[in-house]
Amino acid sequence: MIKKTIYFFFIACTIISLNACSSQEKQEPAVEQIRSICKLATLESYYNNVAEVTQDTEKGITHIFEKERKMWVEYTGVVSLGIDFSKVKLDIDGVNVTITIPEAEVLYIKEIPDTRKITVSQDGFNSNKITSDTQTGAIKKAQDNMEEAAKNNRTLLLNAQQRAKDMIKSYVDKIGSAFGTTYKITWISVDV
Amino acid sequence: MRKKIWIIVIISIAVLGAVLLTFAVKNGYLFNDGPSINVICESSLREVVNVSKLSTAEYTYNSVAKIYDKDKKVLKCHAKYNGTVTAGIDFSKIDYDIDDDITPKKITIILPAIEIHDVIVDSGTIDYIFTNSKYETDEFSQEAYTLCIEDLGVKVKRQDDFLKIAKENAVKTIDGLVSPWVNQIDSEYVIEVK
Repeated sequence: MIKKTIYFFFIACTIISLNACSSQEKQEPAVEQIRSICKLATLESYYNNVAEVTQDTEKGITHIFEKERKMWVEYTGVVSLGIDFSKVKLDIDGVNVTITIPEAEVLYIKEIPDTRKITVSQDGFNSNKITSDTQTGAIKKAQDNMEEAAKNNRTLLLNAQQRAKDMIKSYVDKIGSAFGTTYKITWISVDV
Repeated sequence: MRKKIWIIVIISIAVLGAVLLTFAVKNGYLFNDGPSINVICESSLREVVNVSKLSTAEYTYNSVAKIYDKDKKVLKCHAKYNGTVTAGIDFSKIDYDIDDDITPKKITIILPAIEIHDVIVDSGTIDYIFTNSKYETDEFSQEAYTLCIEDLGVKVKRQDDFLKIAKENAVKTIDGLVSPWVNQIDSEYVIEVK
């Protein structure tokens, strides 16, 4: 009876382990989309970002001899600033041109590749690994921080809008000079 | 009598086990949420650069990149990412040509060549599945990020329509800006944007 039980247990374990060992390669279907946009980027501001990660030890017998870990991730990020060009309107009345232009906004943020410098504290006898997912979470927080810093930098946003105005004015002056006309431009700023 | 003693022993062990289990779960020794992680960030502005990119098309691609070792033989990890590519023209390089000698008179707006402006992978959303935990090193996330950008660059090159759509939109945008204006100055002019 006992021998039968042992044989059955052994066969069950073998079947379960064979199923567990097989790996199914699951790939999510790619999602791709092309869409029309109309954004004029006028400034790119480069930021130096540092994310500090502190990972405590866990409780329990299996976590004895773990050490608290610290990781610093330093990298360069860029914030692109500009205007939604689809909201630019030109109204012409003789030599008077009224240009409606939206306020500048953050168009996108990105991390410059190959700029990450990672510094990690020493691990204990029992490993307390800082995973790639934790690093990614830290980068996400740093990116959000960088975007917030750019959005709150009123001077930078005004400079971005001013550059857009200069570019559009230059364009208007070019066409005007072709017709022998000097246009007087009035600017109207609208909210995003 | 012996049977009764065994029953009492088994019940005592079961009760003690339940008490220990409750204590372990309540105090986080079992089924806890993992180690507590604290993140602090600092950003400092380094440099501001003038650009003049008019982006007229955007390609969004969310996919999974396979990351191999240096010899491209061993699969280390699958990395899921969200990516965006933008394309358009350099606004400062728009030129024009006016021809009064032909009928009808013509203004030609010459757009510069369409180019890829930015290839962006959201580095804060990359997810990983490793084939073996030994590949998950401290520097791996940087390697994965660079490879996801390369993967996105390869994918966008296969999209024949993307640059075509960007060009069409650029033409429409500039035509929409200039046409009403030129028609008001002199309706005899025909505008061509190319």
